[in-house]
Amino acid sequence: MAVLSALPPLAMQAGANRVVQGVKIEHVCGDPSLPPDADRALRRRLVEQALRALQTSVEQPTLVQAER
Amino acid sequence: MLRVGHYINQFFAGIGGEQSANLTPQGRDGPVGPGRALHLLLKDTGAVVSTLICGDSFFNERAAEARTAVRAWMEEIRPDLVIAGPAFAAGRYGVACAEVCRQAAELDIAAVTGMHPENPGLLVHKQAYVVPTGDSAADLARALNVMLPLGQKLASRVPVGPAAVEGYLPRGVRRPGARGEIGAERAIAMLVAKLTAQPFQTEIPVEKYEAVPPAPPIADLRHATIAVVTTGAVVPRGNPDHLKRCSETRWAQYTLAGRDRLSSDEFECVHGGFFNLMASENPNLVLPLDVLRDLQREGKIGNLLDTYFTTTGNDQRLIDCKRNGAEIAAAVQSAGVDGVLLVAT
Repeated sequence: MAVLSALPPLAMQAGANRVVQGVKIEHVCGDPSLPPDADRALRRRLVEQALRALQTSVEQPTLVQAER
Repeated sequence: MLRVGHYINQFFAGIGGEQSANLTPQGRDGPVGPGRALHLLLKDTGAVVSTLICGDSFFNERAAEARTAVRAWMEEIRPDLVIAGPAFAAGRYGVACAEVCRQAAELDIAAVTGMHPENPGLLVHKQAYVVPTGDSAADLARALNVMLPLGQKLASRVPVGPAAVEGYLPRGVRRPGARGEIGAERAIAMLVAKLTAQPFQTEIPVEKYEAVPPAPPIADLRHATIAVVTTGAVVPRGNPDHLKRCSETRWAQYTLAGRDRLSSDEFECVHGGFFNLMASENPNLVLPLDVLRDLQREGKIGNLLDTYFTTTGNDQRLIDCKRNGAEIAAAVQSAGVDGVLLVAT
């Protein structure tokens, strides 16, 4: 399981092992202030990052960072 | 004069040990066993007027009959105060004592029990006033000396102070009240104490989370089935299962079949812990179905489970979180899911 959260420290404190930084509590997977295409592209990057986290080996609660 | 009813098991009644654990519930006039010490502590302020004795196995194996007997006893005796046990570390006895306290509460009778902090009886009736005891009857006299004054206070309807002051185990109840110093001052004092390795008492104890071993990574996403779960309370418009805005105890599942995205015509967000208008206008902001479908179409993920799972992650008790998590995990596992995306709001 990978957790998309606007508050990764809380998710990790609760024991989530694969955590990805989301945007904001109100809109974890995107940003409605962006134009629709940009919002969707941002959402795709976040979901891809969560999918990468699922493929990453971890030993303990870990913030899986974006690939640069 | 305070009329005290006392509940004890077959062992403390002097009837017998395990061989007598199936003893049927029976009342006796006056104090029996540890009730005699209780009676003496009352001096001329009251009396143990009746004792109910029941075998520990009987109470747990024939629970409905035992509860009926306890209620009938209380209704007959009409005590001002019920003392149960103490049960120390005896599990079945602890469960019985907690149940006796629950029955008393239902009849608006003050009740106190005593048990070891690890006694499973504590899980039976969280609202019970339970004095912590040692694990054996060696602690009897001390325990009764705490239980009785607490019971007298409860029976006289005098407001009872916090757990740590009155000597009972925390009941998970917080009461509003005035403190000498404002919160900021207390918090700073606590921080200074912590930084200088001095003892301090938190005002908001945090329940401990368990460590969960990480699942192994998914080797090949192109052949994996992914499920999506959210604590964001995204539900079909109209909220057919009446998912609550906060303090939810349940979870719900809904279909994604035949949908390319979540439209605001069909779905909404009913989470009460954040400003949910944006999520209701575009539920993909919480449950990213649109891009998951893109990834599925492109073959980057093998399959997306056609069911999603949701609950309201807002003021949910840890015990409900655990059960909901376990139930959702069982559901996705039986659906052959390889990995889960959980969107936490």
